[in-house]
Amino acid sequence: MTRVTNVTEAQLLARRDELLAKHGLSLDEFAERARMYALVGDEWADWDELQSIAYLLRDD
Amino acid sequence: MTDPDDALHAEVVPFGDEIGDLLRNVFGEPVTVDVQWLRGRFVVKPASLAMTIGGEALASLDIEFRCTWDSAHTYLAVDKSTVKVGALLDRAPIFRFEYDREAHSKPTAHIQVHGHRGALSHLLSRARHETPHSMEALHLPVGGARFRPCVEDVLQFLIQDCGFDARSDWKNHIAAGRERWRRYQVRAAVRDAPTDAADILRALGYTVTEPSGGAPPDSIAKLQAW
Repeated sequence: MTRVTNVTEAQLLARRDELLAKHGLSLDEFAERARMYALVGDEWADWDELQSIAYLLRDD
Repeated sequence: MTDPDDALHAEVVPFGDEIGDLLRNVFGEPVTVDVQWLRGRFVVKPASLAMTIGGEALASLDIEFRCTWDSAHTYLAVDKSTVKVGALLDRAPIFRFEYDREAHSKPTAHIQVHGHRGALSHLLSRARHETPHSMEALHLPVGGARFRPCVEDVLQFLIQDCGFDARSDWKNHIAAGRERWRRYQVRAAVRDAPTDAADILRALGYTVTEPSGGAPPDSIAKLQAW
């Protein structure tokens, strides 16, 4: 089953803030950790989600 | 196709259904595929799948496609795809099979292996690599946009090489999906090099006539892309 959701910019920004708060990192700090391959555990999945959010927001 | 709802139902939903059906037919579990979209961009993502060996969940399989419309706004074009296998033990990736249409500093289609190898780290250190201890920093090239592996190839690798559980008839579904993918990619490759395609067809006995305006140019950039 495919479930389609037309997300809003506000929803994506709120989710981004939630993910960053979970790890206590800014987006730049998270990106730097990813660039240096220094992510651990859940950070990997959450970084992927942050990149998906950036794609939808055209921030990529 | 200008109505976004029509476009969604004609292209995006069948694409999601195809991925969901493949995973269900291979692994036997129903899989919901979520599509999030905003202003003509789509993220197509099946629910994370727990991969089992002997019935015990040991790894996760995460697949994601980031898509947009092609220039004619008719078909979905994949900007990026990821097939990621992670260990449930530490929630970190083990393999990542990725395609990034706009990649510049790495191969368009590549595999990243998350592992450690002392000799490789030594070599990368000598080469002044920025992250010599991270094998995943290396992007192993796998054929570019046209000849990259499909999801079915990765699934077969996981079942046949790694030993993950699957339904008894998994191979039939993998083979059918791979054939669909390769036929689609052959068509795309022909558009990249139409003169070569015409030559081969003539060699096979077909009569091929050039368009009145001359042969369409080869897509040199695509043929040369890393």
